[in-house]
Amino acid sequence: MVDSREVPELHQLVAALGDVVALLVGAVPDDHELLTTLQRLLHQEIDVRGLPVEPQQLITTARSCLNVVLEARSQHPEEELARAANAVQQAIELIEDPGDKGVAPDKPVDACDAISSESRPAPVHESSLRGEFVAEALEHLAAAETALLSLERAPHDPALINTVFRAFHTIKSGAGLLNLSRIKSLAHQAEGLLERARQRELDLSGGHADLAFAACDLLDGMVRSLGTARDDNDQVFRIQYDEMVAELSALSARRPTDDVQIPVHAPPLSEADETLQGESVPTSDVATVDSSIAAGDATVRVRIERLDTIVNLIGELVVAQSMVTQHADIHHNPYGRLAQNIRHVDKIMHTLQDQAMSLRMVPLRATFQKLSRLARDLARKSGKRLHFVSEGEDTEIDRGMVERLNDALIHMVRNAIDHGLETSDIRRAAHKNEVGTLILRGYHAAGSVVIEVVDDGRGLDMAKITAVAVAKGLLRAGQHPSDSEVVNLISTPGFSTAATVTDVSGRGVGMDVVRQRVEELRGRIEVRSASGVGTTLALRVPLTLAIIDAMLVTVGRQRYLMPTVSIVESFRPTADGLISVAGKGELVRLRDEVLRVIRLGTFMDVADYIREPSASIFVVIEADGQRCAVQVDSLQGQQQVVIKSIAADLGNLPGLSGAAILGNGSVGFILDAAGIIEAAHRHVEAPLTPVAPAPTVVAPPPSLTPSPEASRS
Amino acid sequence: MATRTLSSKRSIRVDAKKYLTFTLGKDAYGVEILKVQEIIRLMEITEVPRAPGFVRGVINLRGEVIVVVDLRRKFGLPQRADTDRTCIIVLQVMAPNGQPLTRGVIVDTVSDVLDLVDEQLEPPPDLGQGVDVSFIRNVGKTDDRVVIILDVDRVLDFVDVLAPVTTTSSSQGGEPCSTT
Repeated sequence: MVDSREVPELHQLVAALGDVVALLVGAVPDDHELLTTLQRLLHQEIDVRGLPVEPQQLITTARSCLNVVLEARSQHPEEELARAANAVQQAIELIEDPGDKGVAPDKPVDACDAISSESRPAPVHESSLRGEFVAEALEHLAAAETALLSLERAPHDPALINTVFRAFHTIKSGAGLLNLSRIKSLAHQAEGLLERARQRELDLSGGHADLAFAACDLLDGMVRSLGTARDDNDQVFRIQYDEMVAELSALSARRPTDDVQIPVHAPPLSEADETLQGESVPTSDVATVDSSIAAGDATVRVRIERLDTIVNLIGELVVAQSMVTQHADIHHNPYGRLAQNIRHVDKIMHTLQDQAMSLRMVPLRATFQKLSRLARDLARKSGKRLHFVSEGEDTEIDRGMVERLNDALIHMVRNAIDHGLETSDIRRAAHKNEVGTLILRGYHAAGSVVIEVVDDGRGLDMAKITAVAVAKGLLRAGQHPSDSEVVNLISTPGFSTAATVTDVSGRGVGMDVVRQRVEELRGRIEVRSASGVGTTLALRVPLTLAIIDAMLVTVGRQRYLMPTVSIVESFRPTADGLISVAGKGELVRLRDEVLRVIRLGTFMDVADYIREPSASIFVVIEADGQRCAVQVDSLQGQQQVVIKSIAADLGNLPGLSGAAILGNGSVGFILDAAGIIEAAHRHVEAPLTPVAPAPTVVAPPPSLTPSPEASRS
Repeated sequence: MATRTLSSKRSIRVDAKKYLTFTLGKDAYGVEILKVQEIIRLMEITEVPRAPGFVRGVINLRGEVIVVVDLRRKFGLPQRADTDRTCIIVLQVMAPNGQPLTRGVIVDTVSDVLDLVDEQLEPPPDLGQGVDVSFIRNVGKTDDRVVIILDVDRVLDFVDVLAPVTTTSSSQGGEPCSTT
């Protein structure tokens, strides 16, 4: 160890930093209490003195990231937190193995390293990190330039000096993480200049300001060139770079008492000349770099509301367009010029719609990266050895969805590591690979996104689950729950089989949260487990929250949309299939099950609907593990609809969850299966049927197409 | 609005305000034009289950779902079939809780825009007991016409009306029906 301190002390430090990382990974930007504590830890409790320079710098970076979040200066506090966690993590790695600069390929591989190398930005990840770095650095440089301009008028304003300082500092640490040594050292030198200004050792006006401007310009050029170049060794900037570094380091070498007057630097070599001048405009070099960036990964940050407005309007445009397309005049003369033109517009419109939908989609990569870090820390904490694999990181999902799924995924990973994976000893005894494997997998399937957390641990302990379920009265003794019943059981609030409550999991809230989240998103959970082989937990959620698949049902003159995710099946009962229970409602028999009946027409107060059961269709719906049969006049087919919120002022409409725009441009109401079922049960006081209360009911995937017999109306 | 632009020339009718006038039957009504967002043709209206009778339903206004009130029903006027001239005035109103709301009202015809100064506005008439005039803000009088100026915030405030209706009818409607 390079460190001057004792090894045990160092271990303590590493452990403390490890805790900081673990907390940072789980932290949310709003949790000021936690963040302040972390800030204090990093500032006071954790003594970084005596450490090598690099970890010290990394910890400083983490501090400043935390500062930014605490002072609410960042628009993306989550990213700042992730950066802080990253920096501390790297610091730990450097302290533990100072010879290895963080990317040792020849490092002896043990369990933790196996995942740490997975979680460390691989080249592919690096490009996205680099994109973020470029965007951020350019923002900072722009702010620095503005501040420098103001400084010429108020050379001692500490706030302005800090702005510039922060810009260089952030770029320095960012470049450090990405191994961009030249940008890093240039930013470092520039930071030194600002530090002197901060100490009032020099004025940021005249020659010094020129120098600072020039440093900004050069950094700007170098950062921009990252859009195309593989590293920051671009020849274009070499001469300017060398001169700039020489000048800055010459300045910092001078003692404060020395002559603070520096000459406006002599014009250097021809090509570099213009860029080095303080007020110079970008030269043609920079311009070409600019255009190549536009072709590459240039991004624009747009407020999400604006995006939503555009997506909404395009949705409307498509509806309006379809009304034109279906106009009688077009049908009369399908080969006329007008019809041709309209078909052309139609094509453009659909491309536009596809593009609009994709605007909100983001890949799962960032989420998976966070989880891999979490997995690593958790495994370390619980002393288990883990190989973390993530697959399908490019799977795209609606941005809003991914934010709301984060919690659920964290719980799933925790469960897998804490409950699923065994310790090395047990695994060895069971003739399994000592290193456990956790796979995070994302893929698209039938209009949904599936995210699986697969572990090769001990699998769910069915005996224990059954025992707890029986003890809690959720299951009758001797009953064997099916896979889907197991999902319901383990996601019951307070249901935990963990013998000990650890700080990771075991309080019985985890799966409860997962289920709640997933149901909010109109998704479902599936579990597959084999004792001793492992557990697979899969979340199946729709691609986007903005659109749902729904079955258009009619009742009387009214039309409603039933989300297909709530539909189990549909059938037409025989004339005598309905059992009425005096004053308590009606029941219908479906195979060996007896279901409560809700007549949608009566529920919605519709005047003329088909009352005769054998002339209508019964749709079996399910929510929260309960089912009932909804009587409707007919099914009009499945369609995708764009969800709108019901006019807020209509208050809470029982049985309805929202509105949507139908194909003809009119509004349709979306039925709320949970609300309908609840109403059904409220009006039937005593349980009259063998249908057991939740959560013992099976939840198979819904058959989305009604049976052929049933779809005829 | 007129007040502000003309404030330098006090001799002109500085306090004139503009009102959009429309008819229901033979009566003329007016609403402050600042509250009017747009006027649209009658389009397909989706009934809201269990809503009070004067709520005709909801429409899709360029992707926004808004409630449409039938003013004839609201004022207890005799019903008549919609015509070509029937239209929806889309209004921006303020709910009692300070929330801005977009609402539509169905009227027989839209007439014109009328300038009225304060002297032409009279307080709502007392129509005796049992007649609710709280949603009439003023009666505007010009040489040849009388216009009832509505307090649109009140006319369209039916949160209190709606809430009890929804709860009562939900208990009726939710009743799993009797056999037929």
